[in-house]
Amino acid sequence: MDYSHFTCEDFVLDPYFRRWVGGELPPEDTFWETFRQGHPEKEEEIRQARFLVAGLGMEDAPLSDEDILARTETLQNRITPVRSLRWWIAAAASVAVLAVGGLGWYTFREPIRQTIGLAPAGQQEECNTSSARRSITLPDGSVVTLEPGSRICYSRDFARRNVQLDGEAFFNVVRMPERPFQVYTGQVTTRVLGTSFSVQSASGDVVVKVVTGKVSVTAPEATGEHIVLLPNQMGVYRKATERLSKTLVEQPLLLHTSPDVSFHFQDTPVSEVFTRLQQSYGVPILYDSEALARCTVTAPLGNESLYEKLDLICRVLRASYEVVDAQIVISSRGCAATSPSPDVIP
Amino acid sequence: MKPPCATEATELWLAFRKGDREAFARLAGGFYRTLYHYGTKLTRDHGLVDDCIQELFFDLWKRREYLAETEQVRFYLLKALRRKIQHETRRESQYLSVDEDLDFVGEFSIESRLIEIETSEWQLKKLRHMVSQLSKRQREVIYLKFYQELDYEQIAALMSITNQSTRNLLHTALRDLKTAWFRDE
Repeated sequence: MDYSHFTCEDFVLDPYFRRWVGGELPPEDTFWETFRQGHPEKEEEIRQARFLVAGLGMEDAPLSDEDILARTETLQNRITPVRSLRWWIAAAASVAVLAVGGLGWYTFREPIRQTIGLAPAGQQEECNTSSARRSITLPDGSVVTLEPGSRICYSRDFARRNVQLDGEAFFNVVRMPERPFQVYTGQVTTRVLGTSFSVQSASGDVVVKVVTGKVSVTAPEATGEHIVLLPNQMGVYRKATERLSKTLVEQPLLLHTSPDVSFHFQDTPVSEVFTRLQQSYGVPILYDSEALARCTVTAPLGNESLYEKLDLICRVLRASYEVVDAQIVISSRGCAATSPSPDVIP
Repeated sequence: MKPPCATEATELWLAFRKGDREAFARLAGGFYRTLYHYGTKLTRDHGLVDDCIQELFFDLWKRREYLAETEQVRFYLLKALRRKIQHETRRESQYLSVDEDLDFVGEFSIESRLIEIETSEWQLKKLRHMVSQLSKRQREVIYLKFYQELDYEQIAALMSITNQSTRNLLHTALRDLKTAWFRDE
C-alpha cells in the first residue's frame, strides 16, 4: 500500500494505521515509525489522524470466554434432540409395566413385524427418516449419530456389542477392552475398542474414517484382507474390485491427544517442522532428511488445514508432496547451504 | 475466542447448513462476542441482547436448509441481530413508532493513549465536545467502519441507508472532529 499520498482522513480510515495508534501491532512491526522518519512532510497529517483515532475509543460490554461457552452450550442443547433424564425414568417405568402384560402382544405382533420388514423381536431398530442427523444412545452408553436415510439394528440386551448398519453413521464408542464393539456393513466388519469413527456404506462399498482410537477393518472372508486404522486414516472397501485399502481422510484434524505446539515457524529446521505436524495430526511424514538437513522454514501458520500447511511449507522448500498409503511423502531437491529458505510467506 | 476469519466462517456456514452441529457451535461461539458487542451498543438491555443472539442462532439452525450461501457471514449475522433487536425493542416500547430507527447507545471516549500525543488542553476539550455532537447515525457508521471493519456497501445495507449517505455521514463526522485540532480563529 502506498501511503505517501494519504490525507489525514485516509489514515483514520486505514485499519492498519488504527491498529498502530491503538498499540495493537506486535513490537517487531515498526512500519509506521519507519514511514514517519521517511516522510516528514506527512507528520502533520499523521498527528491529526492519531488525534482523531484516539478520540474515537469505544468500550465494549465485558463478556468472558466462560460466558460464551455456557451460551453456546445452551444453544447446542436446544438443537440436539436429547431426552431429559426425567423423561427417561418415566419411560423405564412404563416399560416395566408393559413387560408384565406384554407377552401376548409380542407373539401376536411378531409375524406382522417380519412381513413388513421390521427387525425381529429382541432386536432394536432405529431409522433416521428426518433430514437432520439423529443421535442414538446404545445400551452400553456408546452414541451413534445416524445420518438421514440410515438405519441401525442391534440386540436389545446388547450382550454382544454388535451393530448392523445400513447407510452412514458416526460412532462414539465407550471403552470396554473385554467387550469389542463391532459394526457390520454388508460383508465388511469394523471392530473397535473405545474410539470414535464413522462408517459409510453404499451399494457394497464401505468407507471407515477414524477420529480417535484404533479400529480394525476386515474385508469379506474370501479375500482375507484386514487393516488397522489410526486417527485421520480411512479404510475403503470397493466391492467391484474386492479390495480393502488404507489412506488419509480428506481433511485430517488435529488429534485430541496432540501436544499443544505452535505452527508459527521462524527459521525452524525442517526436521522440527515435520515432527510437529506428525505429532499433531498423527500422520507419518517421510522425507529425505539428508537433502533437507540445512533447510529452515519461516511461516506463521495457525489454523490452516494440514494440506494447506503442507502446501505453504512445500512452497518455501520448493518441494512437493503426495499421499501414499496413509503417509505423506515429500520430494525436494534440497536447499543450498548458504541461503536457508529465502522465501518468507507473507 | 476470536471470530473466525472470512474464509473459515464461509466453510463453517457451508457445513452447518448441511446439519453439522459442531460447525454450528463453532460459528455461534466464534461470533458470539462480536455480536454481543454490537448488540449492547444498540440497546442498554444486555439481557435482551443475549436473548436475541440465542434466538438468532436458533432460527438459523431451524432454517438452515433454506439459507443461501454467503461469503459475508459476519455481515449477515450483524444484520440479522440488528433486525431482531429492532423488532424486540419496538414490541416492548409503545412509544417507538414503526419507522423510527434504533438508538445507537455506544459512546465514544477519549483514550488515555491520547496523552502520549502532544495535545493541548483546549484540543482535548474541543474534541470531547465535537464527539458528543455526533448523531446516532454518525456514531453507528464510525463504529461499524472502525470496530467491525465493514465496507460502505455493507454498512449501508445494515442501516438501510444509501451508499452515498454512509460516506457522507462518515466524512462530515471526521471533518467536524478535525476542527478540534485547530485553534479557533
